[in-house]
Amino acid sequence: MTKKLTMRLDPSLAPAARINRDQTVRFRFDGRDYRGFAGDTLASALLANGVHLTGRSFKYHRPRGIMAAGVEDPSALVRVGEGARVEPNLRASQLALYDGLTAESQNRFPSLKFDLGAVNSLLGRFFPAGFYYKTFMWPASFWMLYEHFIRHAAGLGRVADTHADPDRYEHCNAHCDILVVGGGPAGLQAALEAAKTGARVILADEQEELGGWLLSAPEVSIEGKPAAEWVATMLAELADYPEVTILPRSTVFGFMDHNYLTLAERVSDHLGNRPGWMVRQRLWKLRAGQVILATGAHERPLVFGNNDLPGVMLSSAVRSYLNRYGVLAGRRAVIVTNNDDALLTALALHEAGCFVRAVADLRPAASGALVRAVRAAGIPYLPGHGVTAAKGRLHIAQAELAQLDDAGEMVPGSQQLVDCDLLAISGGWTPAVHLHSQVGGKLSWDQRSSCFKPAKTSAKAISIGAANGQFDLARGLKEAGLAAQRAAEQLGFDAPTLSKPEVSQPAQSWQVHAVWQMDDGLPDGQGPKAFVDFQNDVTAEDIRLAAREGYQSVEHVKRYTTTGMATDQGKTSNINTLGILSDYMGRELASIGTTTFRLPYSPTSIGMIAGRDIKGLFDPIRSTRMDDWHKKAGAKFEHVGQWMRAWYYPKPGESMEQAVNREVLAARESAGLLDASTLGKIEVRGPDAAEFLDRVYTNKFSNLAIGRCRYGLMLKEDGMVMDDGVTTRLAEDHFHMTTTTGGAARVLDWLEEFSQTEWPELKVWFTSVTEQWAVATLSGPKAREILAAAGSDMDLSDEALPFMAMQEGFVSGLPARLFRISFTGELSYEINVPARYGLALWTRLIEAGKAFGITPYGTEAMHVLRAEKGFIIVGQETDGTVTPLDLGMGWIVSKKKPDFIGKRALARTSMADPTRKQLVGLKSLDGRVIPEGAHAVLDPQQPPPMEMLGQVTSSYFSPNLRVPIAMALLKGGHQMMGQRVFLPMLDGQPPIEAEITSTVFYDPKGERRDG
Amino acid sequence: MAEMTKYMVTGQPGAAGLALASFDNPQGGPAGLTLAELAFAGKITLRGDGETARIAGQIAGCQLPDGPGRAAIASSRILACLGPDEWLLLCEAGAETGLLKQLHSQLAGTHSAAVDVSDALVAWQLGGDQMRRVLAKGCALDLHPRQFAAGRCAQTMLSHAGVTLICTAPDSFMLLCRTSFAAYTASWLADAAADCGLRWG
Repeated sequence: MTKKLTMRLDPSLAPAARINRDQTVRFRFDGRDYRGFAGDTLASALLANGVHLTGRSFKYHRPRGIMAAGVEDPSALVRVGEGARVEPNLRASQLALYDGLTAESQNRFPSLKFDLGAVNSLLGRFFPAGFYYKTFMWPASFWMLYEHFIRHAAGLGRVADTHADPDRYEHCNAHCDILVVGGGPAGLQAALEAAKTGARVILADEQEELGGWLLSAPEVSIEGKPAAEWVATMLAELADYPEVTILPRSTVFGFMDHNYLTLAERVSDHLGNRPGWMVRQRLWKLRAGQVILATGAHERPLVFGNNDLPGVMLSSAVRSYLNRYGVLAGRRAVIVTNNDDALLTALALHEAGCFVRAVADLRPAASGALVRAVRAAGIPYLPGHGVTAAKGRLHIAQAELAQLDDAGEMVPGSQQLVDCDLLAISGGWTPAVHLHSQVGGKLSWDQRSSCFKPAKTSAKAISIGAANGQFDLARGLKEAGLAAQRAAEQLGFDAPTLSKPEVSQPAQSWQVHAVWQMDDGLPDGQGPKAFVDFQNDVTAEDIRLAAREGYQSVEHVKRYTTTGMATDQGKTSNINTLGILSDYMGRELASIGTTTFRLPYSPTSIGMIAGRDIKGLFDPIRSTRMDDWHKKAGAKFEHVGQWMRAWYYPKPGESMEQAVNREVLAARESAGLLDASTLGKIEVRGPDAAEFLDRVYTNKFSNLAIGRCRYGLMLKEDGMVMDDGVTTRLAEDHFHMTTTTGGAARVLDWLEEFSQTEWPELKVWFTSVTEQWAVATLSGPKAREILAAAGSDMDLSDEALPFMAMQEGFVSGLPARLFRISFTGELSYEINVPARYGLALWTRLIEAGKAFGITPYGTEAMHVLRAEKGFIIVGQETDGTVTPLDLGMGWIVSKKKPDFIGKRALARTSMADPTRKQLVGLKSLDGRVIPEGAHAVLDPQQPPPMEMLGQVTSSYFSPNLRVPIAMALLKGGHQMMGQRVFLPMLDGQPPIEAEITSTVFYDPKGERRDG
Repeated sequence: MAEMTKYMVTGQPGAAGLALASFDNPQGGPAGLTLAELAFAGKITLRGDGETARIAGQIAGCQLPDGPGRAAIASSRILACLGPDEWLLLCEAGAETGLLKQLHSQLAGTHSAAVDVSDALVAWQLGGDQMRRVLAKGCALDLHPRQFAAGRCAQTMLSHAGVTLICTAPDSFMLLCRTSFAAYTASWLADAAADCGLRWG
């Protein structure tokens, strides 16, 4: 069933409305179908259908409705979309209406009109500020129970049940000379003046349409044109500048140092359905030479009893719905104001056929054209009057007006009840100084307009127009032109003469008669609740309670009461909070200060922040030149840093264990082939290369012969192992260094850092060649025969190519560097070829090795093979707290070299502490493989906390020894050879008993490395 | 998921090539981004001082670039200055062997390094009227023609991959990255071009 548009005005009564009455848009709210027009927001369309009630409040579950017409609305939050596209807490006032939009109210159970949680409201006296802190403190053990209850009750809307967001999001970087934030009159004027200079300009505005409040102001004309027409002219003119980018639906939500700003562009939210290629939202990272902040101002509500009732709205919003959307927010209105602006609302409502029952003006003796116009229109005008309470159940039915005396207190007996269905309120204006403040700008209090205005800033930014507290249109436009001119000139552009647009509008004063809370003559706790923060349900009383309990700093008041901490970040509440605090403490408001402004200015979606960094593009996946072969061979892969390395190659029906055991055995019985291309490789070149290596490795490299290889350990300054690898001398001044796969980038940075900052006198260059060379490691007793079968012009004999030597030549017709290096303990060759030949090398070796039983093996078998030999893996046996001595590798630490990185640290007494954790081997005594990470203890019967000796770093089943083997870092382990330790299990199984052994389990004499 | 996997690229640069598929501009008109691999293009990293670069330029037939961030372009050869003591020399496929030989002989005795990185890096020629916009989705540098015109170069990040960008002509960039990042980078570019179309090859 579709409801009639009851509150939509006839076109003749809202001629400037920016809706397309020819284009009906169907939408659904809380299960009912409605219609609106293109150009509507969800809020305006709901109001057009007579719907004010949009949700229940956060804490007291009070009925709430539409209060504002823009980003500042604290109340009308809805849950939009269906299925995985559900999004909670969206502001109805900012949601462009599209066909098929589905929204529902939030925080109501079971229904919006009858809500069980509203019992909280009756118990409101027991839910004061700081309620959580006070109530759930005791007993501590009950917190778990409380938490369950609070988690369920707390929070605003619910997120989607399905978690994978189906939409696309992205980031983009942008640079401009001048960024103009806000497309109201000042922003448009500034952007055009800036554009004229030839500067690159970005003009961003958060709304569907640029123009700001001018779109709601048919009473204004600029340069002889109605306001909206002037806006259109300005936009058309701006569009002619190729270096101008106009971004509607784009909120600049963060302003950081160095004029770096972030912007959320809602690219296609307004379309409802979007094609798959189109992004939903885009995060812009902006770097601007100069920033012009034309972010406007937000109207403040007045604070009085039941000021949260649906039907109580900001005066400017009422005017906006009327003029911009052609919607009458009520038929019988009362206006309460402390300034001139709401008088425009009274007049506009009156002209649109609304019965304006009364205008209560807090100013005792306001005069001026608007006051005269209101009186002339026959609207009852009550100077020196305020509103003490709103009355009604789900909607306002009556406003209680009363006279105030000179001290601002209610004159007893002066109350009168006025029937109404709309109460438009205006408490003055708060410049949107958020961005100015985020980047550290100061504020100054303006007593006349009763607002904080931007003051000093160290950013290259300037605030103009209403954002600068300059509410007068003509002056604001002038300010805008000057700001653009100055910004352009500072960037070296020549600014032409400024245009001076003529403005015609009703004469208006911007003086505000601030009354922070309407006095209702009742002590705290007895009158109806007067809300300050509507989204977090914070009342004026709560603020005073916080102050009374000693939370008097504004930052404390904020946290204790949670005022300003909701998703609207207190856009309508912050200044009222300060006012109430200042009244209570008898201090000048200016001396109270403000809370800290932080990004985001308005809520942003997580999807947009993730951007393109999801799924397959979450992190780069690096692959080697042999990758295709591994995939075709059915290899399973594992992550090693960003690399995907072949883990093992299961044959059909084989388990991982079976595959790994087969691969390990093959490498010892015939030959295995490993893709070792991922090893970091660095060319080290220069007359001081050898000296440099002597300083970064613990052992000596300057005495390494040309064509020979040496294993080295690198330490950090603290003496802890950082990386290891084999380095080969190619020429007197030329080395080929290898690093661990994961450490390659870190090591190169390390070398560059020491070269550039510590030892600039050493002449040496480093070049990463990791990807230049593809590497196949051929390992096993048949390795030499396979190489010969593959064809090589090199002499492969032990004499010509001994262990730890290198030759250059050809392998299977491919140019190669052949290194005799072994990480398995077997006869082993690391064959390096230019990467383009990597796949060819691999397939030719596999082909040549077939007759010899060659078996490709993955990283898992490689780990087992090296563990059988007791070779460490940096990052597995080490964790940044392990020295070479702890590893039992004292033999690699030179005692003769004058210095090397880490030498001094190794000389510290504590390094020789015999109770340091030391690397040992473990033999499981009952045949179970010890889980890696298991902790070793001497007494498994000891009650917790048990005294722990250390942890298992590596553990495998050794198919060659047919027993489980492990390595562990144990306190004083080197002195415990042959002793028994226990490894308690997490799975409830009895502890594993193990014997401490040497780390070398297989071929301790190293007889196999020569084949 | 479908939209993401659609653009995922696999394979290796060079002879076999990346399995990158072209797709139309969904908004009509020509593909906004064109991408072609300069297969086996020669690449040499040079470290040294200005004299090193001068000699290299002479050998390669390139001018000496005007300092870091500038590249001298001479038909198939580019000498890009990547830092105060670092240059990248690009040449036609196969020419690197001869150039290296000459470099090693003429630079002998100087403190310099000329290293063949032809296989370490993949080079792509980029074009299309949306090229700068697509790159801006992952590159924080100002690529506007006023700032990054022909003859400019930079080492930077494209999303999570380190890349070298060289503006070779007003609307044409060369993009180099490590081959191990090639599939990621190509996938990223394809996904970022989803709204404007991609022509590969």
